Amino acid sequence: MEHIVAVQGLTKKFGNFPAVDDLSFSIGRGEIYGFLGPNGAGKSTTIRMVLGLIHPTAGEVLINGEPFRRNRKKALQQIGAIVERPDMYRYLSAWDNLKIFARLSCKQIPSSRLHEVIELVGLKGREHDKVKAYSQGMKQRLGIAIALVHDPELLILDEPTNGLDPQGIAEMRELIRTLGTHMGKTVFISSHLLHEIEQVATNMLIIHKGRKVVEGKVSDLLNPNETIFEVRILPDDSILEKLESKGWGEYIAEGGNSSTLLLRMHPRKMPGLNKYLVEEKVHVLEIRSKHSLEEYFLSLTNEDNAEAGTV
Amino acid sequence: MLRLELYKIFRRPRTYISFLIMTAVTFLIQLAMYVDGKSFVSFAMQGVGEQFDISGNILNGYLVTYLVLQSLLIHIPLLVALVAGDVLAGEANMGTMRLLLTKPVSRTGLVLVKYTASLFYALLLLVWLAIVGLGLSVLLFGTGDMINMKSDAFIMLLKDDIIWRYSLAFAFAALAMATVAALSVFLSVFGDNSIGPIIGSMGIIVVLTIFSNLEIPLFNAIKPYLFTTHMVAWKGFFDAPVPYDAIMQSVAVLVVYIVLFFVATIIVFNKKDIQS
Repeated sequence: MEHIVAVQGLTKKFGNFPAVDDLSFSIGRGEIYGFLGPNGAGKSTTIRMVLGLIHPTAGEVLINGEPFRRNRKKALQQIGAIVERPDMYRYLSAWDNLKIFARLSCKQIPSSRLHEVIELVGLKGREHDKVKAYSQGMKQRLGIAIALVHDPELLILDEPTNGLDPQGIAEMRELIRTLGTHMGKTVFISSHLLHEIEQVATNMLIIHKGRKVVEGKVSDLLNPNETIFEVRILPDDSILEKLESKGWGEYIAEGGNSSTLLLRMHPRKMPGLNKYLVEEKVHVLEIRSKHSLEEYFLSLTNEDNAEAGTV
Repeated sequence: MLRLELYKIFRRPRTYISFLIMTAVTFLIQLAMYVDGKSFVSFAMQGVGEQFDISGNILNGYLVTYLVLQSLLIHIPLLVALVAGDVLAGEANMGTMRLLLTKPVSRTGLVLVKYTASLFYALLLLVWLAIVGLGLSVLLFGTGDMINMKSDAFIMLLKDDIIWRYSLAFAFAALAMATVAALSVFLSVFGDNSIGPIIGSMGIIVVLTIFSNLEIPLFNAIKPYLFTTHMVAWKGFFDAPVPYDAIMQSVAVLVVYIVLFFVATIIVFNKKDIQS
């Protein structure tokens, strides 16, 4: 599949702290790609690096196969983005804001296009109100209008449902589906809520503490017939290859540290896996069933909350 | 892009505060001179009248404008800092910087536009000062030969020999304001809110102006290198003869400062991680 975004070994350190650590992933054209992680996992830092707002310590971002760093202007012409809060010029109207950012997109955009996006995001009739009079939901929708106005191939939406009420969340979800399914846009959407991603995304990536945990199709990762097993072993260089070649479930990722493997398989296969590992002289320390990816993700979030609460 | 920048600046109410302050101060000086200008002139001319026979309209628009400029050209930099210190930091504070930089505009281009917009604003302030200072003073007090009352000398400038001096003085003031704008934009690149860069610019200008004016040997050595020392060189245009060498030296120092601040701003801004 043709990749519109390819992230290779992306790393960002603030001092000695690695906010993003050797992260690689790619987004295919037309995908709605969910980017999931607990708060502080490094999602916004990654998104800012993809957009060139933050300079990576190492690694590279390719947009349509070309390095972002050398083709920043061209790359940004193909991207529309909301990063964190959709902040605009509060003392100007939505229309003025839209006009300003449309002109910055280096494309000739007729005012009919401005009307079109205002209508698409449901702000028709309110476009001449000042932004300071807007609710959070209206600002989010205006943010999407600004991101869309130059008709980009790729939309990057960083936590677009943050601060919205349930109705606003539902409307936003619908809008994202429309953009992806009906308008053919590639959407890269981040969230700290699994069910948000689950409902709109076709593919997803989970990161934790700046590192990739799981990546794949949402339908596969959230298959209720399969269970995620966390297998803790003493480090063994060849075991991954052996597990893969023998078809012991689907290897997902190394989680937490290098000696913890995540495998997705039918629960009935687990005793056989245990036996196989012993036969291969792998020192198994622990095998834990996580039941589902949702539970696994929840455990990451809880782990972070517990750490945050510990002084 | 410049048009958009100016549009943003002039749609903000705070932009007009500077114009209001300047107009108010100019009116106050003009009012004071209108009411009590004659006593001011006779006090200033004490002793001179005994040796020279002075007649005609001494309290004229040109003299009043000179007094206005002397009072205001120290303060206009502070007003310029109010806008120029906000151009980058203000975007960071509003959160619009990240939206701006996700558009296909180069960071260097953005700095250039922001600086040009600040410069345009500073020039507009000077034009406004010329209108309310020079224009209104001439209307209220008429014209005449101008006496430049210096601490050690009185210089008589003929009526027909004044307008070009004001023109050059305003042109020089524009360069001085360009320096202040460059300093403020430079400080603005570090801030995530406008207060720091604005106060920082004002603080630097005030402190360096004090250094430039103190007659202490220690400061005398550094004075020639401070931009604040050279910002007042516009007064030279009201000397006879005009000290062109000294003025050109001041022009060169200010240009060097502008280039340094500008290049530093571009380097820092291009390396900056946008985290606001």
